[in-house]
Amino acid sequence: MKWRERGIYMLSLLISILLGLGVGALLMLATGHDPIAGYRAMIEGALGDKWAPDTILRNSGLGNTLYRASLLMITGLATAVASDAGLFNVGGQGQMLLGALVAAFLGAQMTTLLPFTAGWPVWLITAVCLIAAVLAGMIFALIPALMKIKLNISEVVTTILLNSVALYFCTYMANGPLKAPGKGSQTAVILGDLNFTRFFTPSNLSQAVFIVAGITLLVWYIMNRSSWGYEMRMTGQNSRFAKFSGLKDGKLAVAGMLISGAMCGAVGMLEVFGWKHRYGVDLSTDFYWDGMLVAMIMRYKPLGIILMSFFFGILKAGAIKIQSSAGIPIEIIQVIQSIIIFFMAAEQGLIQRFQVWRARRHPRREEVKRA
Amino acid sequence: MAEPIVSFSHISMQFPGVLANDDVSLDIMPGEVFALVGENGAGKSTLMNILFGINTPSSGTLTVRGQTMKSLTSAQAIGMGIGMVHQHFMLVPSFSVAQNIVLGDEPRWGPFCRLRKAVSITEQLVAEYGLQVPAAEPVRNLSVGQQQRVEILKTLHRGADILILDEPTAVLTPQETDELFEVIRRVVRERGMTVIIITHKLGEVMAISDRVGVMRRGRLEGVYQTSEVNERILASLMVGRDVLLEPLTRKRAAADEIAISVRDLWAENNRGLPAVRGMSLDVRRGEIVGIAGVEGNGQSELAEAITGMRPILGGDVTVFGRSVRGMRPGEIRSLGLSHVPEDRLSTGVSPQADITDNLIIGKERRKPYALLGIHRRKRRAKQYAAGLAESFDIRSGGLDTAVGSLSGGNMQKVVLAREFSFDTGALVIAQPTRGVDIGAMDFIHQHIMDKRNEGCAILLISADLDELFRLSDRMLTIYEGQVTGEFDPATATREEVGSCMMGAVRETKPEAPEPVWENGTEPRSVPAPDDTPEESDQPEGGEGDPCGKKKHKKSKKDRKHKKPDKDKKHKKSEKDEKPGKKKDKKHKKSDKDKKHKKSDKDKKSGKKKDKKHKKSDREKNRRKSDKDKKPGKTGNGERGDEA
Repeated sequence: MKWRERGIYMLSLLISILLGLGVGALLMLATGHDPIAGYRAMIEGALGDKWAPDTILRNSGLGNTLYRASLLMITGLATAVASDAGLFNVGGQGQMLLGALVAAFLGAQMTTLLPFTAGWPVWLITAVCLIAAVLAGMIFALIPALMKIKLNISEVVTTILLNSVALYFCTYMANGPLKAPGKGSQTAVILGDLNFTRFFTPSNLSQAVFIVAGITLLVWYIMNRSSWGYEMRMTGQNSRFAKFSGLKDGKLAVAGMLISGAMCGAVGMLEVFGWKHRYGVDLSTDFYWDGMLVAMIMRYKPLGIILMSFFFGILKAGAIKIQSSAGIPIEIIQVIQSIIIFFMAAEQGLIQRFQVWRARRHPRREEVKRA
Repeated sequence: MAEPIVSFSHISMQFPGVLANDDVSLDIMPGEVFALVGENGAGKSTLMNILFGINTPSSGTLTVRGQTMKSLTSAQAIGMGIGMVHQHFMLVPSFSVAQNIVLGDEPRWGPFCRLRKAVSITEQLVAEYGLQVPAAEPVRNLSVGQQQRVEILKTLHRGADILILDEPTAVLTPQETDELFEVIRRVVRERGMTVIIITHKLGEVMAISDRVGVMRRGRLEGVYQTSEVNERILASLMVGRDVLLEPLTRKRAAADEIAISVRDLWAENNRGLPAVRGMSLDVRRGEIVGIAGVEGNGQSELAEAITGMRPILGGDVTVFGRSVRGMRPGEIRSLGLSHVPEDRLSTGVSPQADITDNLIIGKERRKPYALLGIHRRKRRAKQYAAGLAESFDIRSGGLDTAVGSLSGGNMQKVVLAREFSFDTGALVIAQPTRGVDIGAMDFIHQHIMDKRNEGCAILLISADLDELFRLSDRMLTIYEGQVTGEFDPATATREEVGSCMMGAVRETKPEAPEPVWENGTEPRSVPAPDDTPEESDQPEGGEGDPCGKKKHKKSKKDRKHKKPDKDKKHKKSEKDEKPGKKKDKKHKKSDKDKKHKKSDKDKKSGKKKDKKHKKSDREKNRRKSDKDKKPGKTGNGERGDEA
């Protein structure tokens, strides 16, 4: 039963992706480009081009895809954890920025500010930075969660507002107290030893991907296999029922939000240690929206989010190559991406249509099943 | 016989995943009362919704007054004289009765609605059909029975002469049901109307209908002359097997140990108005205490206050000797109390979650189902759920079916299976068989009785008097948040209980208001509601408690005096109402003596809110006077008032 539902879901998802690609192709035709060449460029750009002149180009596409996928995965899961517990974390950007700032600050200054840490091994300092970033994200998620539980103020509103708070606070820090000498609004570079090893340069893929994998696994375990995750899910689905059943509904909701904030804080740290090596106002956190989208399309199911992240990673990473090799302007590509996502989001309606149609055709079978 | 007025021909209705009607052919004759019975989900409402134009049938045709068509729209249905009163009333609460009745067909003057005309239309309808409702009163102030009358009047105003009533008696007291039936008989006799009544209750079918159609699983099992069948035949047709509602076996009498003790409890409803007003009761191990009351008289709030879902504002509740004030539901559960909530969909289950998840909650960290309290052992949980589903006969497409997609009866079995499986010494059960079909009902009753026989203390709240009579060892009636009487179900009659549920005896004629008021306050030297606990404290056991009876008589007498002013309220002209209301508001907090004198005016006040507040004021007065006479006894009452 469940498997059949899943099958129908995957099928309709596939149909919607194909529809999206189809409309995208029409759009390319309409703007005078060859859709086949366009999509081929996308695949090559995302998964690696066998015929590329050198290894760098051959592999950086794959690196970009994995990098993108890892970001989407962790942010998607961050959204999913919070929404499982019944809260909607739209404040991931702010939590990430704070995590990045804290990590960049500690990465650059910890050994000078706290001389006793100077002799610490690299992994320990890295761990301290990660924990600090995680804490920063958690604290920033705690505020809206408490406001929601205690005062019933919509967490959507507060998290969005806190995004701006975080953004401007970080910008101020990068322009003021923590500004590194020289041009640009950015903090000092972290210690060279702390830089993660990078793979597939010039892509942004680095050792961070392993940490992401670890966090993903842990979160998947919490959400799907632990009693705690189960309790959070029950709270999120029906908090009155959870309270009635003796769960501490408020605490569980806050816990979900805290995990979400912690993950976002960690992402910020990983961005800094992975490739940025400092905090700068140009640090992009827009991928958080894509991560949320992935989570929503996959209905906050961890496994689905992990898989769908790769697909989105391909879309995102392939875009660069389409522009450079097929000559299709990036704007068109972005429109196509949006259309594909649009169709995937519409998948729910498709399922219903499909079921009604099937029920009309085989009423007897439904009847037997019910009996 | 004449031509059928409505004729369904091979109607099928396909919803996604459910075939709600399967090839139904049925003729309804003009001027008859036709009862449609069936279990939940049998397709009764769907069929009637097709007639009323809400659903479009997948196949088949419909003939109304000789006109054959594939489907109807609601507007067409109304145009053809079909009126439907839904299970859940579709009235605008803040509008007056008259406004509700003319809504959609307002008497107009240009773009404006002629309100006074609306009132006169309503009064004309009231006079014509003998359905008493106060035309100018906002609907939210009406009792459920009155609201139903408004719904009926509304359809009559639209010129309906085919009236569909969807489970009209589910929310009515026995008296209100009788009145409704009287109205039905009258409109059929005098106006030649056709009435189709959807119901669960077979006794009502026998009482009111000329013919009866039985539906099961979307099919029409048969149509019978009511005079040729009896309840037992109908029940077995509905369920498809014999259902014998045999008396349940009661083993051993109640123990002395008090499991749940409620002392002068005060709690508010969701609107912030006092709903439980100084209630006291005890439940011993091994007995079922039934709470009878018309909905909205504080029974939901009582259950929620005991189980921690609602703050206790005054008084106290102890469960096995421990006060539960300020405790979370989880802590109260750990004292040994389980709770079957009244609203299963929003409180009793998580509709999106599957059956296993709904059954395991509360045990998700316990030994066999979790490792170290952290790692879920899903297979064990599933085995456990399968066992429970088996023993409670939960029918579904599998344990991973979302509970929200189950039928009402099966969903209720999920709730019962879980709550009973905690094996606690006390249970609070609210509306265990609401919306549950007869087959499941008997099953649930059996389980509740088994729990009692195991020595569980059960507080049973139900709107179904049959259920209370069948299960209870003792019955308490409540009215406006207070206990109004105690009965032994073996000897009490439904009429006695019913009148206590109404807070008054209906048949008495109104007396002059002044003395009534005095009577209502003064002579209660032994206040019936507040006394209940003191008396039941004595280990006399519930059954055949003479005190209970005495008290009942007393409270009955009290009711007798209360009711007339209620009647009066409606008969008073509306002109007086407004000033009364205003004054009432103004002086709400003024001193109590003044209030007392003004009581006459207050009674006319329309606002229920005011009424309730006033009532609590009245309460205070009463307590005051009680206190003067028996200072020792009402100490509790005062504390409750302050809270």
